[in-house]
Amino acid sequence: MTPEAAGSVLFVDLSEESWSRRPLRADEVKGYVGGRGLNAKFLYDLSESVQDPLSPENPLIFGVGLLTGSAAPSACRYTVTALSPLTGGFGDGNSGGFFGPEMRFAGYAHIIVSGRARRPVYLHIEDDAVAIRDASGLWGKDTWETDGAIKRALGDPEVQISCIGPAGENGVKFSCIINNLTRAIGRCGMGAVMGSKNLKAVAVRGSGSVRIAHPDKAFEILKEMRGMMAEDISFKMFGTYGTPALVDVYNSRGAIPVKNFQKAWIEDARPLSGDLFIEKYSKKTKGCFNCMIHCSHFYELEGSHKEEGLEYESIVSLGPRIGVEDYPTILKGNALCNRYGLDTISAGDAIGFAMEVHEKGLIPEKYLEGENPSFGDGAGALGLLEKITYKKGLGRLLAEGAHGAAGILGGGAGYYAMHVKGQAIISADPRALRGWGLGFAVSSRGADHLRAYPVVEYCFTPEKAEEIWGFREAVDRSAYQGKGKLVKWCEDVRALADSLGLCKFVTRTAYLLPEQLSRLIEPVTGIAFDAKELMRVGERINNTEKMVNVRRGFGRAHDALPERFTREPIPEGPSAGMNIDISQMLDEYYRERGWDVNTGRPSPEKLAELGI
Amino acid sequence: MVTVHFVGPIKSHVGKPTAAWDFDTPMRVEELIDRLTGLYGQAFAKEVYAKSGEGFAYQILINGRNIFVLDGYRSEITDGDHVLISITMMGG
Repeated sequence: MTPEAAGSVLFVDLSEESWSRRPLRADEVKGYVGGRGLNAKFLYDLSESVQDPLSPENPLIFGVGLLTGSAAPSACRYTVTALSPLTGGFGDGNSGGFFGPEMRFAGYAHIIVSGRARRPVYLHIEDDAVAIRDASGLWGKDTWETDGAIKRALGDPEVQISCIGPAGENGVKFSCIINNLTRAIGRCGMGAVMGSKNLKAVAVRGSGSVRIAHPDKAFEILKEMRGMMAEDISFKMFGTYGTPALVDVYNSRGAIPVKNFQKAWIEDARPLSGDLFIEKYSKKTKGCFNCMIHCSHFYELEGSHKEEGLEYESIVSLGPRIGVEDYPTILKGNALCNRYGLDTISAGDAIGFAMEVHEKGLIPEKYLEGENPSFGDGAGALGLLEKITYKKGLGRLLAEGAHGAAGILGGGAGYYAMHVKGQAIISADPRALRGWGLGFAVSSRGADHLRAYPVVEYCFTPEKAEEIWGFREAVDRSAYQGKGKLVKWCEDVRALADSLGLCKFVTRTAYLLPEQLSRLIEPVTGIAFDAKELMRVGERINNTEKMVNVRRGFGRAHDALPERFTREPIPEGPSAGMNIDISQMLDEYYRERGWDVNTGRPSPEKLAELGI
Repeated sequence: MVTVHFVGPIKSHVGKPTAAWDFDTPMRVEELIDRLTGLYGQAFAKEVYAKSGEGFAYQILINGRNIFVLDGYRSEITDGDHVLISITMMGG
């Protein structure tokens, strides 16, 4: 495959109801690989004059990874990128399932949607045929109804659909985009951007395929990868339990958020354990395109309520973060979020925030409208999910996200909004996981673990840490030294996986080194990248995303964790007494990146070096 | 008394998530693994020492500290210590 043959870029202007396309350029692929990376480049180029992320000018960019749809294991991911209405800065989400591969089979690497349709529409792509179709009858439907209705209308049960629910239509700041019913472009409010364009869905069908450039060489390395995955205990763990197993993992380290991060440990976590989920609710597992892990579970509640795709983040966000410790409530909440198109992390976070600030007497009655948000009230929380989606009652306030709501409330409520750059922190307490804490703080899309995903902090030896980052302490969770180097390295490596379209579970601890990725890319695509070049691409992607944020006014002050994590040590459990001060790690991180330590901004020399 | 917490598939060897033993202390981590291997078989040791990609499948912590930043498998365990043997899966 030449870079130009990696797919087309489709430009759709909804205001003009027009579209055009062109092949990818070689410099685009060599400079940014694809997926998340090239999406970032397009956003940087196209968003300079955009003021409001919910205005028609904000481009909404779909992009598949360079390997998406190929024979590489779990190469199924796609990314959607835009300026975020939640953070005001760089935004994106990444999802698996089958939509990404289908987009590639139709011949498209990126779809850039601009403008705003005069009425609700959906985009229908079938190979070279592109149509903007009326979606008036779909507006108001949830994601499951929408998926089914489009398949019936097109008479094609195999068409792949990426769509929004009522939360996206109504501009909920943390609304997501859903494909395959339960796969989410979850973070940053990409659903609201899609809704602001009156775009209900993208439906895609392709009859093409991905040609393997050097089949014999590719077969050898893919066989090696699959052999490794078949033998590795961690992959078996993901395959058996999925991420619900992480409840015990985080709790055993005293790092599981409880009641809006007031605590980080549950004395008896059995009611939330992965074991219980498997025994009582899971019916079978399901994989994404070309995946041999099958981490997702079909589950059934009370013999009637069937769903798929429960993740650790959703368990904790809709569970202990709001004081709930029963699976039935969590499972129902997860299904509601998928149907409404809500990010489970931010939804649970907003509700937990409301519960704590209400306890403190910081929500005036005019916002409560009769609501009494209280930790442990599962039924009340489920009701709030609906109110957030339709912006009714207290839901109107919480639809802004905890940070936005705190800004409206004032009066000290901001202390209880657990966010970075307006994005809710995921379900891992950074006081107990310092490398993760730094990763949350510097993430270009706000508090999130998947930008750095520094699992190497826990499974590498000090010798390996010294070899790569020069500090043995980098793998000590209680140390500060070396974390800046570790997080910078992880961010660059993870940007590559996202841009290749690989699942992070596959590249978690294996096939994450640039030398390994280099061996994989060339036989599959025919496009050669050496390891050094790949690391430079990862660095370029992170700097490009950073520059979008710099242009939006972000600086060092925005790379910060909530004050609670510095002021309040974890009160009990295995991490009792720990808090976090990121300043030393942040200085080290900026120096490692070649960014100004005082402003947090890339130096002109660094930008010139990377060609940005 | 040494209390050991097990997280991950390794729990199935022991049959419960937490167990306490009245071993002679101080003892080294490798001695603890030998003792537990004696109780639960070679499969236990094979799993504890298994690699996962570029790292290890399991992480061992003594009172919350990674043994690799102490003295590795020669790290000392004393009476009253809590040892965590946990799969290194993280994320969400």
